[in-house]
Amino acid sequence: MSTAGTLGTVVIVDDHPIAMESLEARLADAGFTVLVGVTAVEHLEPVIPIDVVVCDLRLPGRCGAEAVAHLHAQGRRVLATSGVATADEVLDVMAAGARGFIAKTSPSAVFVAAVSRVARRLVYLSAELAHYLGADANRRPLGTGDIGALERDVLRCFEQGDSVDEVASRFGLPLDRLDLLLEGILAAGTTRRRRHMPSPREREVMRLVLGGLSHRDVAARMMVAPYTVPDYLKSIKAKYLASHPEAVSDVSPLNAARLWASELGLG
Amino acid sequence: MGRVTGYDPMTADSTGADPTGRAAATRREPPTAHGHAIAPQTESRLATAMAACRGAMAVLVFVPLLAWERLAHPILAVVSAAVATAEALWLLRRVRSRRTLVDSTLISVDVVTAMALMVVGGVAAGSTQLNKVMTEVLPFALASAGFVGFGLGLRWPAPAIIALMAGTWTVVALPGHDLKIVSDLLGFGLWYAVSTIAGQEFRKMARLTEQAQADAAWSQQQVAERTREADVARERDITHREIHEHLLPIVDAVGSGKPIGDRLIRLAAREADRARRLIMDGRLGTRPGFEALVADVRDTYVDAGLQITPVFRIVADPPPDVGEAIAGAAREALCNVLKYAGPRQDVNFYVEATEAGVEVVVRDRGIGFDPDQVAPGGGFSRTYEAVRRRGGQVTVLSRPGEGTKVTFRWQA
Repeated sequence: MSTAGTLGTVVIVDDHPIAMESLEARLADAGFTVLVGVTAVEHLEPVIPIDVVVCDLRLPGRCGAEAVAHLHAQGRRVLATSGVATADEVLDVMAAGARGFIAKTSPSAVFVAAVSRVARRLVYLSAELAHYLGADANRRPLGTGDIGALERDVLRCFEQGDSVDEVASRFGLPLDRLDLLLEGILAAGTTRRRRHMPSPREREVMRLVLGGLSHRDVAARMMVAPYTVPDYLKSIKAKYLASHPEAVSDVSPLNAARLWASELGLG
Repeated sequence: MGRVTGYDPMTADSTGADPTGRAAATRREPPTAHGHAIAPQTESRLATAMAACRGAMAVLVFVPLLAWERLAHPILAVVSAAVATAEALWLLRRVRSRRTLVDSTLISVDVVTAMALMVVGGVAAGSTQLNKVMTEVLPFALASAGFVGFGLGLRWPAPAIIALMAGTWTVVALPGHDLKIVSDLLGFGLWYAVSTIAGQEFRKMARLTEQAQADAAWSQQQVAERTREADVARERDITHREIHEHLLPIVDAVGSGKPIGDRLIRLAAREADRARRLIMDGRLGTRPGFEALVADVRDTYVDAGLQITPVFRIVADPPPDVGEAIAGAAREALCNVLKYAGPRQDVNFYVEATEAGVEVVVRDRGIGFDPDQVAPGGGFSRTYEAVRRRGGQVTVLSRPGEGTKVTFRWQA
């Protein structure tokens, strides 16, 4: 299992291995060392050196952002893939540390290019991912530290299907500058996600109030003072309204938390 | 809320009557006040206000010290003032921590202190200064009647306590004056009655507000739940229909073991794409107008076998004729990919429509062509011309081996 002379070691995590067989063959043809695929992130031996984990998002056990966070914590570089993930799921996965996202239906040539970039420690932006990041930036501006006009134009080119080389030459950017810029776009996306999506504590409050617990019981479960629960609910409501422009703004904090919790499938 | 005595004014006169007239039994979940607890806050504020009142009255007990020379027992006057001050401070601390006036210890201590002050004040004054000294003690004693009213209301032994205080006052003050005693005694009664009524009213108001708040939260939650249930039901209907009408026929055809022809393969690709979009956005709704037009173009060519990566950002529709011209031109560009791009049939289909204008990009990675080999204007059909006639621009970039990028732009 020597990786010498190859472009890197790749493994595919997918609970339907049949779906990925032809991709494994194409990656091997392209010069990657392809390990035998696994069906869950827990099945990957942490000691085996791997350059890229291509990870499906619908998996048994840990899935989606949780699966990616698990791999990220082990120091793995993850290229997320899915045929059915929503924009929110993809953005969560990127915030969890994925290095790129590619639609499962993409042609294998595109997959090979994506895996190569991630293997070279670079970011891979598919048209879909560029679209999700751009739309998220429009919907939830960050203020200071947000991406600027150049980044938005770059995202737009990726949305239209341009390759990295094409984008670089179009804007007259050296490739390493463009790669840095892409890292910045990803970092801003992660910040945006953290600021506008519920934190783990807030998710816990949402899960508990969805279960019908009173403030006092929520506080007892979470071992916090009861008066902090309304504060959590207020910040959940603020984030809920920021990410749901169509929601009625006079929704009570409790109901905002409940609605969002059921939307996110908590509880 | 932790009560110190068994008597709870929050529930004492609430017989379970629902102010909205709705029967409690019809609720799936009894409304509880999740917001700010108004009743305990009201109780706490009443308690603080009365403690402040007690403090102010205690200050008055110092006034007789100004007539030091004329007092029979000036030291007793000092002790009275000190006791009044100490009691007022103790009381303030107590309501700060207990946050309620429904507190039998508090009432007992206050009443005993007031009565002691009456007796000691009378002795300290001596008969000559009795009127002046007792005038300063009276407010302190009246406030005590207020504590009884707020804390006990009409409940036993409140009337007895008031009677006892009035009696003590009569005995201590009687030698000095006759007419004033009537207004003094009336004062005890009035302080007690007004405090009782005020306490009841404030607490009732707090309870009604809490109830109204809980009702509002409850109905808002009901509306939210109904909406969610309706959404779930609608999505289930859509899913059932999609499976039944679109996916099952294909699965059945494969399951029947008959040979799989091109038509079935194309149908399967189209329905897989449709199913994927259903899973991703939960409903298959496209807005009518320009979005429906370009979605239709996309579906047609997914059907025909292209692997399309669509990115649509449609926030404002162009005028209908412009929209139709651009959709028609995009149709042609995708058709060209199908016909000429070669084995790589993946294509990016980007559509952006805002108030500022429209930009549509059809980008393939096929074999491409050399634009120099194509006569100017040649090969580009009437549909591209239609876009230009409406003020739009058409750009075709291609190079052999690098695919083709067709861009349609129209500015509002």
